[in-house]
Amino acid sequence: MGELEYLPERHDLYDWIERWSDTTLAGLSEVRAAAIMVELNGLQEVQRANGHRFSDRLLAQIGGQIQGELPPAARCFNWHNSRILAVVPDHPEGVIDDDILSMLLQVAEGPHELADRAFRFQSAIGFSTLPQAGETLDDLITAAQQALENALKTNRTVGEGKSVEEAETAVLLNDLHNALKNDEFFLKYQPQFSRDLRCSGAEALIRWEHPERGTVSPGLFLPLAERSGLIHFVSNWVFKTAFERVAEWQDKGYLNDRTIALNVSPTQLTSEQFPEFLKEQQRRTEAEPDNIEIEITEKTLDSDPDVIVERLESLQAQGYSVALDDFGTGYSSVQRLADFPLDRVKVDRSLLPASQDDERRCEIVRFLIRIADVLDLDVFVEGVETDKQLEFLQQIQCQYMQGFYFEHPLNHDKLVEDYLREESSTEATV
Amino acid sequence: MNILIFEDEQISAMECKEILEENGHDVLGVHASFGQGQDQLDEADLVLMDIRLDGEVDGIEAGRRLNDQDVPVIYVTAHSDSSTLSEAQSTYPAGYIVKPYTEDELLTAIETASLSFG
Repeated sequence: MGELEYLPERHDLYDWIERWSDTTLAGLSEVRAAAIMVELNGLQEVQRANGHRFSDRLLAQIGGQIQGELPPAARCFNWHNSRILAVVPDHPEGVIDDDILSMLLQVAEGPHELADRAFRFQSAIGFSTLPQAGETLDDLITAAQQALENALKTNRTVGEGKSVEEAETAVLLNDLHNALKNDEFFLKYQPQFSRDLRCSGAEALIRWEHPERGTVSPGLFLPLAERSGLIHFVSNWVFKTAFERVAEWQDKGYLNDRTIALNVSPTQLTSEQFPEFLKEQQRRTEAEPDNIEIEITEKTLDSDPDVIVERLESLQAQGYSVALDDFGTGYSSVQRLADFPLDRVKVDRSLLPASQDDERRCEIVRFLIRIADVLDLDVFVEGVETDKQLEFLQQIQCQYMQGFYFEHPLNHDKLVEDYLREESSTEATV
Repeated sequence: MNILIFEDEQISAMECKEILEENGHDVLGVHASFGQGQDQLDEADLVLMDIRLDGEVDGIEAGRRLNDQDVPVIYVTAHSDSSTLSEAQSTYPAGYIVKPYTEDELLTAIETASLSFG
C-alpha cells in the first residue's frame, strides 16, 4: 500500500460501506465492524507551511500505510484535516488487538518522507467496535471519536470506546444525581397480608420516573448505585421519606401493629454509623421504630458475621424488627436462620409452587415453615400470584403473604385509602 | 488512572495508596489539606477525598470546588450521617465510600465512576 494519491473523504464512507456490505447500514452490526480514529497532531502546521495539496498527499501516504496494517477489507478516510478514520467492515473479535493498535500508533507517528523531507507527528488513537458501540455506522464512528477525545484528555495514546452497556451505565450514573436533586424518586408500597387476609403492613419500594426514559427499573439503577457508593445518597432519601411517612401514619393511627418494611443495602448496614443514622431519622421525624421492619438480603450475611450480629441486635434493641429477604435465592442455609438475630424470614417467590402438584416445592415451603416455627420466626411468602398458591399457603398455616394476587405496589394515598384508614376495608379483595 | 488523594490520616492514606498502586493506578500525591497538591490537579483523572481535612477547607467544600472544575471526586470517609450525606450529595461526586471499606469496594467504585468520565 502507500500508493494512494488522495484519501477518500468523509462523504465517500457511506457510499463505500453500502457497496461493501450490499445491505443497509443497520446490517453492519450483524457483520461486526471496527473503527480507528487517528489524530495526527502537527499536520495542520504542515498544511499551513506547504499548502493543501502537499498535506493531502502526506495524509494519503499515512492512510495508505495504516490501511496496509489492517485486514484487506479496511479503508481509510480523510475525516478532518488532521484526522484519519479507518473502518474495518468485517471484524471478528480480537483481530485488532493491543499490538496492532500500538503498531498503528507507531506508523502514524512516522517519520513520513515526502519530497525529500521527513515529518513526525504526535499521535493518538481511538478504537471502537460493533456491536459493542451500538448498531449503526454512526454509533461506531461516534464511539471511536469519543474514545480518541478521552485518550487526548487523559494524556493517553490509545483510547478504547465504551461498550453500549458501559455508555448506558455512565449516563445512568450522571442521571442518578439529577434524580435526587429533581425529586424523580418516589416510594410505592406493596401491601402485605396475614393469613386471615388482613393488611399487616407494606413494603416500601423505590421507583424512579426518569423525565426522558420513563420508569427505570430498580434492578438497573440500584446495583449501579451500590457499586459507585451513591447508594448512600439513595438510601438516605428512602429512609428520610419513609420515616416521615411512618410518623404521619402513626400520628393518624393508621399503623397499630402493622409494619412498614424498608430494604437496607449491605453497604449501608455494615456502615458503623447506620444505627446513629436511624436514630437521627427517628429524632427528626419522631417515628416510632415499632412499626418499622428492616429488610436485609442473604448477601448481607456474607459480610463479617460478628459485625452483622452486633448491628442487627442493636436494631432490635432500638425496637425495629428484622426480616431476611429473598430467602432461597443465594447461599441459603437453615443454619443462617439460627445464627443471626432475625424476626421474620421472607421466602423467595422462586420457591413458591405454582400448584400443589409441584410436590418438591410444596415440601420445601412446608419444611421452612416448620423450621421457622422451631426458631420462633415469622414466615412470609413473597410472589403469590394465584388462588391455588393462596389456598396452599393457608392450608399449611403460612403467617404472612405478599404478591400481585392481592395487590400491586401502590402510591401512599392509595395504600391509606384502600388498606390503612380505619374505616376502609383492610382485607384483601381477592 | 492518575489519582490524587486528600486524607488527613496518614495510615489510611498509605493503605489506600498501596491498594491503588497494586492495582495499576498512579497515585500523584497524598495530601492532608486541600491547600496542598493544587499543582497536581491538572494531571488527576480522579480525586479521592476525605471529608475531614487539615486546614481551612473541608473535604466537601473541596469537592464542591473540584466539581466546578470538572475534576471527578469520590469521597472516602467515616461519615455517613444524614446531614453529611446531603451536603456531599450537593457536590455531585462520582462515588461515596464509607470507611472501613474493602479493597473491592474501593476498586469497584473507581471503576464504576470512571465510566462517567473516562
